[in-house]
Amino acid sequence: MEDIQIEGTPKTPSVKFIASEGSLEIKGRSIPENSIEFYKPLMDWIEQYSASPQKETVVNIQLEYFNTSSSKCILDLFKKLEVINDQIVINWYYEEDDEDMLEAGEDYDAIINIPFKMIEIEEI
Amino acid sequence: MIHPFMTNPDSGHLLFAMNGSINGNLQNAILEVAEHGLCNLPCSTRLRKRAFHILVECLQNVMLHGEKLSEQKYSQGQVMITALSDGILIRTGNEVSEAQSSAIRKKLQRLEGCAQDTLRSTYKKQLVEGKLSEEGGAGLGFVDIARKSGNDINYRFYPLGQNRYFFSLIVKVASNGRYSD
Repeated sequence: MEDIQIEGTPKTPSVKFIASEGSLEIKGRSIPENSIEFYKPLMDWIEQYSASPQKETVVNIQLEYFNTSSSKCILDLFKKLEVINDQIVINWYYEEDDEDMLEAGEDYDAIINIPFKMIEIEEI
Repeated sequence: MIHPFMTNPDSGHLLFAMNGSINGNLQNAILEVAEHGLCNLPCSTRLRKRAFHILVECLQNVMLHGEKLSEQKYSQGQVMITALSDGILIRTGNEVSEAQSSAIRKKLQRLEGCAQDTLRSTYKKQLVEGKLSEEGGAGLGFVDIARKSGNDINYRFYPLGQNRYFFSLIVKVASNGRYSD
């Protein structure tokens, strides 16, 4: 399957999904008015990847901002990852002092049946 | 039209104000200018980030609910950002129909006086159970604004006649919000 590599814009995050490495990364800002258009291809990719995933899958979410439209799409994306039975972890990065972003990660952690690792960093 | 609420700003330092058509591209420009203004304020990063986050949701509300100009993806709306000594004030205004005003009022009334933990559980419930509209609305905007502002959302519907209303939304992001800034 083809990898996904998308450059970030002022409204959408950069995306790097590498199937052979089991590595999925979303980084930057996610504030499009209609997030479905942006996230639909990512969900389709995950659905395909989940059918024959790597033994280990690492998901890195490193967002500076995301709007409520994106929050729903991110949840749907995580739900698609839940079907992977092999080892999977979601690394949820947040800037130091950004308790809102930490709280958002905790909310997803409470909903999704995948282990989350909260990682504080200096700057996204 | 410029509604009177936009011409009588609170005392404070006006960072940004506009009245007119808003679309996706203009929204980018507004956010860029507003972010620049917010970055120059002598306040905490946390307050700036919350104000920016709330501004994004408020602008997208205007774009979702504002009066659409014929056959164009523009919405008529007004935006004003003011820096106060104890926080940041974000005002938006746009015209809505009677049905929209009832729906918005119902959503906002449910949030009035809610404690932070109630807002958080409401957000999580809606996140799990809600569905995205065709336009990308998740039904989470006002809950998120209330959560992040740490204050009740002030709103008013000014009758304009012919079953139309001017919806004024005023959000204060307090520097002494729910976390110790």
